[in-house]
Amino acid sequence: MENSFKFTGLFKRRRRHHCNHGRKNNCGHGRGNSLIHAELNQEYTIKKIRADNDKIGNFLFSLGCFPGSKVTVVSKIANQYVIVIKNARYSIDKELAWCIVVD
Amino acid sequence: MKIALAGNPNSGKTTLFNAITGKIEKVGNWAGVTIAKKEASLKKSLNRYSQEITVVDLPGAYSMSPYTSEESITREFVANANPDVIVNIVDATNLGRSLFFTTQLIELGIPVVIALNKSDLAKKRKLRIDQELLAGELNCPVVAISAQNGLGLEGLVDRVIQAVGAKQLSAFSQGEISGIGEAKIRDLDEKRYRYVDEIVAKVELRDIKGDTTNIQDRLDRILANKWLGIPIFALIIWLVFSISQTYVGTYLADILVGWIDRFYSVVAGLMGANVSPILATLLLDGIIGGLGAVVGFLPLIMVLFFLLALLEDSGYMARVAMIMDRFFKWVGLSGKSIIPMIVGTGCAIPGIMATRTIQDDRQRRTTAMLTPFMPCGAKLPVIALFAGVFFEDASWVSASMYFLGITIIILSALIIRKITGDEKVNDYFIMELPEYRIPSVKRAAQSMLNQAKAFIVKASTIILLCNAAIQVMSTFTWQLEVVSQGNEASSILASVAAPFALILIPLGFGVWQLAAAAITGFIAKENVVGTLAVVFSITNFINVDELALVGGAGNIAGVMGLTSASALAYLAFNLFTPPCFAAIGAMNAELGSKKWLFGAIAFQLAMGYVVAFVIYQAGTLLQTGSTGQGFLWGLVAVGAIVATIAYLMFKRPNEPIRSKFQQG
Repeated sequence: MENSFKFTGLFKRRRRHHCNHGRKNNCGHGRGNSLIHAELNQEYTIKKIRADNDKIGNFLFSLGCFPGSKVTVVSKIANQYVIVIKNARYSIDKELAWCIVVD
Repeated sequence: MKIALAGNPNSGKTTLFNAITGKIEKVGNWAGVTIAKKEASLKKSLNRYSQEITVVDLPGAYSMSPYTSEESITREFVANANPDVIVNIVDATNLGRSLFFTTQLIELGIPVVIALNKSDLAKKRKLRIDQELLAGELNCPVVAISAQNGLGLEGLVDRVIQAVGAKQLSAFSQGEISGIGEAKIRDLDEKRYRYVDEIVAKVELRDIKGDTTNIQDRLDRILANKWLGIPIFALIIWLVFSISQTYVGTYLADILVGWIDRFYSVVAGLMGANVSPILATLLLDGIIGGLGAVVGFLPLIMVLFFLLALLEDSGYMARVAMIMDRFFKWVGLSGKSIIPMIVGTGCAIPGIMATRTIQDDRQRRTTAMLTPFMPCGAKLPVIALFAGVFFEDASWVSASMYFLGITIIILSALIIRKITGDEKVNDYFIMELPEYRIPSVKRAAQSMLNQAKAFIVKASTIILLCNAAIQVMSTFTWQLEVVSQGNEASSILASVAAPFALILIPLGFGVWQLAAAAITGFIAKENVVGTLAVVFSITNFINVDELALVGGAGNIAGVMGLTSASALAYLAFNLFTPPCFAAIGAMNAELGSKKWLFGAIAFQLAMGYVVAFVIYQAGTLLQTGSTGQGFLWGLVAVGAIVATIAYLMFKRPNEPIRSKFQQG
């Protein structure tokens, strides 16, 4: 928590993943194809989950989304990615799509 | 004997629960409708055994692994309640994920019966499951059912009874897991998934693979479209309100009010002239009139609930969460925050309770305190009444109150985020997308009747009492003399409400009658209409002669002395001030902190006052070219509120309120 006064603006958008991952790689995120760059309707094998939050990693696991399992992106709508894991559809946001690294 | 229903979210546990117990618990076509366990006894027609059988419906879970906190509720329950049999509801169209949880349940040692739900849907999708092989693999009976259509329920109950006392063997055993590290558990769980995959490969025959873009996805692309999503949502909500208010609801309300009118005359006739006039007024105007005014709006509420239930059943609501995620993220809420708000359109209490699925403390509390800003069913009568009286039955009034609610929620969330300290939260959005389906009319009708029942119970108890009290208080002075004609301001009610009315002058409705109605609204929001009926001596608002919702609109508007600007301000005031006491109680339970609770109530009061002030003064300025009554005083008050909020927003953050949330 910052202790100094800082006006950050009301509509400050959190830009955690502000970089073009994979292209220039100066963001420290490391190369790797996340679901953000995945092609539609192509089955990928998950390589790793790079969430900075254990909870979401564990939750994804309970859905069957973990290294070694398969995932397909069927739609990209606005900032949402519709993915299929084990025949079930989920809508995830771009931040989460970035977390799922595939081959 | 006790049986527990367990399974993945949206696998149909509550639908099955309703089907076998005859209850009408809330169901919806999205994950996480059930948030607390429910108990009921098995329906007589299904229970051919001499013993009492209790069925327990549990919230859905994907896993029982010890590291997932939200799933520990299920684990704890199963451990504590010690059911004789667990019925594991498995979505037949999604074996691959569901069986993971099944294998964990089986390890508990309690007999498990698998109910293969949505088996009709699976058949339709050319999906075949070898039940016998599955039963053999897992060592437990498998029964194909369709909870929605009531198929296979007898067979399920029979298998459950047979299973009592049986020893549950587990084919897959991970052994003792307490005391071993998380990484190790993860390894074991991966093994478990591979085991499940093997079973699925053996027992399932899929002709159509479900992982390419299909017609549903194309529909999603339109309904959740970046630009079209919001306008479509707005159109649907407008349709819902206009059908319930302008067309069907009005027609039904006219019939109902006709009956109430006749009842009124019958009672009046029976009493004749011998009954004391005070008693006669209390009974006729206070009880029948006040109640009639409220109950007259019942058909509107019923039609609204019917339509909302259809919408919930269709699977569309999960798409609304998808659309809203973007906007809610801007203001520091979670996309999941929309679910409590949608639920809150029916009633704020289950809406507030639905915030439990939001993990982050600050987001959860913010959502809990803002959910009451949605126009709940109880606020509908006053909205419909004012729409009829002041806006010629325009259905845009209700729909715009709905969207004004969402707008104010987003604005408020922004303010609250600033006040509580803008800490970074890693809130990822993930939501299961249920398949679209033709909504069940039967279930929508059940939901509607359930609401109607609750409404009638409330009307005949608390609202009846309030109306009677209001009638007495407005009939007598403090000296217990009857208030004389033209001297209404000397009544007990007037003197109690008058100080509050003073505060409300800058909002355009500073008369004691309207103040009294706003106050009784805290007991139950339906009271607002009832109190208005009593204090303005209007027996019922709905006129049966004209096919319009509110008859003699001009007269009523004249009696109340409101302009359209002040009427709109009054609606906003009712919407954005604290909800009824019951909802405040729910807020207290979910916020879990007095500091948050009082903060929330103060914030709601401030918000209601400011919004009403702005609407009234700006509206009056537009209409007449000059500001309304009490502008200066109101400006001072609003200025003070805004300054306080601004101070809280931009002060140095010394002690963050939000502190407990830690990851992992």
